[in-house]
Amino acid sequence: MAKSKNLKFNFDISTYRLLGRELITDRITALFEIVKNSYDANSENVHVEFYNVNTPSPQSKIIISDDGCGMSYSDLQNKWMVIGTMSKRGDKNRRTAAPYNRRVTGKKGVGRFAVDKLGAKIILKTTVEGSTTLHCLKTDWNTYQEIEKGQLSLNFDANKFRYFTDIENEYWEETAPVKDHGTKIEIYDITDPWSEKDIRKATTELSKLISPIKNLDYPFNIHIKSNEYEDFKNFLVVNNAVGFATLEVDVGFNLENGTQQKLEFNEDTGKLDIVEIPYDKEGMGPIKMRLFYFHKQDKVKFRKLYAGAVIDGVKIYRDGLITTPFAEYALERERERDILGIDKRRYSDFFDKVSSRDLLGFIEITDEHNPMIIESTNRQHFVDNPQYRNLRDFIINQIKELEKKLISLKEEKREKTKSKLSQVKGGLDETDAAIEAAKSKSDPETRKALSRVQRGLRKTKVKVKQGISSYNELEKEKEKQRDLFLSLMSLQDYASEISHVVRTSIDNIADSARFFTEYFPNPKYNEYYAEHASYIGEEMNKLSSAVDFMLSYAKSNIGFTDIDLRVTISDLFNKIYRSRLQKENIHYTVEIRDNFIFTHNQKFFEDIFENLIANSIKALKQISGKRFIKCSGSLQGDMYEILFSDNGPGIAEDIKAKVFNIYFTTTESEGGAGMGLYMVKTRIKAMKGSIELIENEFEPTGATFKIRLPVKN
Amino acid sequence: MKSNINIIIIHDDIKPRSFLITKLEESFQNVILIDNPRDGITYVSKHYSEKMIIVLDINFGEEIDGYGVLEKIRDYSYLIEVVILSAEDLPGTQMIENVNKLFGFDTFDYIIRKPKNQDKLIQSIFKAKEKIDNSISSAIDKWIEVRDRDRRNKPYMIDHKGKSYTLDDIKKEINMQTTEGMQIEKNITMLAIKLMMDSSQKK
Amino acid sequence: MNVLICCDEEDPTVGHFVELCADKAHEIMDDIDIEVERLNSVQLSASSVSKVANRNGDAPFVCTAFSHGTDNSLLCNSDDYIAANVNQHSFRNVFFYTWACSTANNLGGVLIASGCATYIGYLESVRIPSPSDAIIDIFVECAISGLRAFWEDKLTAVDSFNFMLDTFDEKIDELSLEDPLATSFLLEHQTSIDILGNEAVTWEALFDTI
Repeated sequence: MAKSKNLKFNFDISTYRLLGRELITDRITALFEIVKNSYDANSENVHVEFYNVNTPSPQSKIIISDDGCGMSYSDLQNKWMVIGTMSKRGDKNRRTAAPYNRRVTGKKGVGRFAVDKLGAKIILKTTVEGSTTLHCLKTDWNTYQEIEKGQLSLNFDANKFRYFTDIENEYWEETAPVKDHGTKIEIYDITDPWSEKDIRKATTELSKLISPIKNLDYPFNIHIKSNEYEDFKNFLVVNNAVGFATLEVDVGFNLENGTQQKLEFNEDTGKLDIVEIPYDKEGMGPIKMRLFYFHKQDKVKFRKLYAGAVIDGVKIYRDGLITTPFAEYALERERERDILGIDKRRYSDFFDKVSSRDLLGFIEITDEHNPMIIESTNRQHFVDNPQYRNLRDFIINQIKELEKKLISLKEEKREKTKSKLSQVKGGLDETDAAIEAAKSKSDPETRKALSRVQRGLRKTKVKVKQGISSYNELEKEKEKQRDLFLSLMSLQDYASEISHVVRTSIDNIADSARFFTEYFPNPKYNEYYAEHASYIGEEMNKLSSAVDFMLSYAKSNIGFTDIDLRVTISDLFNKIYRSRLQKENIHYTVEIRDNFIFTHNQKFFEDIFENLIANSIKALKQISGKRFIKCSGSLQGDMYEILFSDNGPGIAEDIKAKVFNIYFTTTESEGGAGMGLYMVKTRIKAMKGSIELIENEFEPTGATFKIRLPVKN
Repeated sequence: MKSNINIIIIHDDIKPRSFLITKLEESFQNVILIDNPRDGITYVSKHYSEKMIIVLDINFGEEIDGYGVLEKIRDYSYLIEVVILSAEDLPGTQMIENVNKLFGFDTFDYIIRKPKNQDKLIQSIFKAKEKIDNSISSAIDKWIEVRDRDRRNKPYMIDHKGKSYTLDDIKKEINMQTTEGMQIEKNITMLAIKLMMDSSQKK
Repeated sequence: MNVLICCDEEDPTVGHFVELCADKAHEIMDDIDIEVERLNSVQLSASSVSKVANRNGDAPFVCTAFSHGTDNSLLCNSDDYIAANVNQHSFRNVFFYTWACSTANNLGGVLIASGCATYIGYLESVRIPSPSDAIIDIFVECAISGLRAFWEDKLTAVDSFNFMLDTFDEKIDELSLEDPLATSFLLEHQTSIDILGNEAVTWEALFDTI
């Protein structure tokens, strides 16, 4: 019977190396993976010991041992010895055995590659509880490499050709106490030296595995030991990268009351209050959160102490251990993975945003209370369900509250500095006066000395004064920059609208020019010539007002100030336009209720109302009876509403829609180019408000404009 | 003889006695200026069965913009030739977006309003006129138009599926350039070809 | 039986045309002494047609069908009464003449292959004028012209076919002056007709065997 000539795949030695290089890129990652394996084996303690690693020698070794569940012979055979083992893959909700029920974190089957990264020879000893057998396995990668080298050489003996899978690893058994369980990996033939710095770095990385918040019922402790470095003689890894924070906040939850704590910035007190709100059981579930904010100086201090540590945003831990999307992130820091989208927030408050480089955050969730927060199968993100979005929104909202607090701190600081400076100046003034007084009572010698002191003092005073004014200048500069940035944005919108106007005017003028070229002096079109001449005039006027508009924008002091609405509008009527209104016999009423103060450019805002008043004055010229202008305002919800009315002839139905149009003008005869209402509208829009023509207040005829402005500017 | 094709300009910033309109009036009996999109649509709804060329401003702001008008025009007829007039020279990507919006609505031309494009616009309108004058669709449409009213409302034709069409139905099919409409046009073309061939054989 | 007329005059859409065609055919035959069987809408079904056709055995006859048609069948009320794979064998030695849409595409060939002598029918789907229109007479005349030539003038199948084409030409010329739109439909008919099978057959030759 013919033997089956079917073929099977094999793979050679260099392949494993390729695999390894892909999966584990550096030593720290290797340690990380091995420790994660121990976690997955339900260990409570992992010991990572370094012996004579400063200079690689035959005495150098690294030992990683845990008290986890260990492996049986068949486990060794079917899991450890199988590359890419299935035992950790598959069901994304894989958990370790009860009572730990930990979510499996380690990468699929890469343990042995991790080990290879650290050293060439390993002795693995493992036992399971209830067995007295200690399974021992020796793997010497050097053997593999020699064979590989041999395969590459010229006198290669094809008969001796061996595959990766052919090479045998020595196995033997020893005895172990029946109650013992766990795995110990001893690594020899260390590839690279480990300095103290390296160990510190490794420690810092490992500390990220552990959440600083949760006290585990089933704890997981990582112990570092080194026989060479004093600091690491017996070191327990904790996540304490929380010193030196500028601002620290802490919220939790209360299961009995069903409430979640939440930060809220209190505008009045300037404090970050912790409020309790009931949490939605169907929502993200109750969480614990600690946020640490670092400003520049504190960041420097932090980095000094925790070598290699980086302030890199908010991370989520489940049952005390980092969740996988963040674990991956921790290892591949070069990749910008702002999983929660903190840095992607819209730039509404450009200058006062907190980025993930300023924040360390620890969000603690548990399987029990937050079951719907699930990692996606590719382990790089969370499943995008309502609960996860809920959580993300919560975190971002809390960061926003934090930002509000920071803004107010900045304000406070500014105020403090200012007042300190003026205190200093005050103090100097006092001293100066005291010296002056002393001088008058002193002898010439002393007087000379005192004058010298005074001179020095006055020099200091000058410096302080300079300091104060520079400080104020700086403040103003910052304000200006901010305003400039904000005003630039509306300038862009404005620019495109204006260019449209200009283009249209130019087209119309060109049309008229063409008319003349084609038809003049044909008497058939005599009427037309005059008309075209006036068209040209009209368009020129429009262009001229477009330029005026541009100039007014450019010229205006772009600084923002606090504007008191009632005062500003009243002044317009009572001071600036009073005589004009009286001359025209116009009776005016100003009723501003719920007054508010907002920040904007004074002239910018005044011009709006100047325009409306001017328009009304023009319109009222046509009324012979009593003439009225009324301006009233009140708060409606979170918008402030201003009604501006006159009892003029009003605006005809057919032109109501066009009245804000840039091309629209009815007052040409009065010499106006009609840009007024267009300008009014664009300015109000720039203030994020709106204007519309509504049913007129006055009977029988009149015009009423309704302007709405956002109150929270 | 001035053309009886109506020129409708839907644009809010062209003057009634502008060069553009005056020039067109030399060659077309009817040049109508409508300064807002709403009235433009109303006009089309009443006169879509007449031959017309529309010059359409694509930049109306507010509620309904040029694209909206075009869409509405096409609800009535695909035989109306539309020349788009745009105020803006848009950057590449915006242009493509706009062109996509127009896709499927069959515009005759797209002209940027600029002083140097004045003649281009006029030429385009004349080209559209040529197209209309020479089209079978127009001819059939016109032929149906001149039948008397009763004739037009009576069933005229039954297709192989048994569906009955009046002359006005056929006119609609032609206007909307449906499959049936296009088949009928093809038949007329075939007839023209046959008559030409027969005549050329007769000597 | 010498002639079988299948006629779906009750069809709501084409009934009017069908009836006119059938009546015209009858008119022609009144002048000739022949046995005519007529199956109207109520009687038209595959089984009844086959029964009548088979009664003739292999004896030749002329079959005309005026109704809706498809590539593969002639229908009455959406039911096939003559169809490929149904009763194509019932028409051996038959001169088959139909005006229904598209039957020449497949049914014709199938009938010929099953022994039918000659087949004249339409390849395309055609339009007809509505009943109220006087023009319909022209369409009927053209539709029947081939039969007329075959019966009255005793021309061969192909000559009758050509006579039909000439009739169309004549009418197209006339009608094009009055109603070009309807003329274009008429032209569609003309371009649609096709002849299959024995082109040399004549009425007399067909009945020589009697």
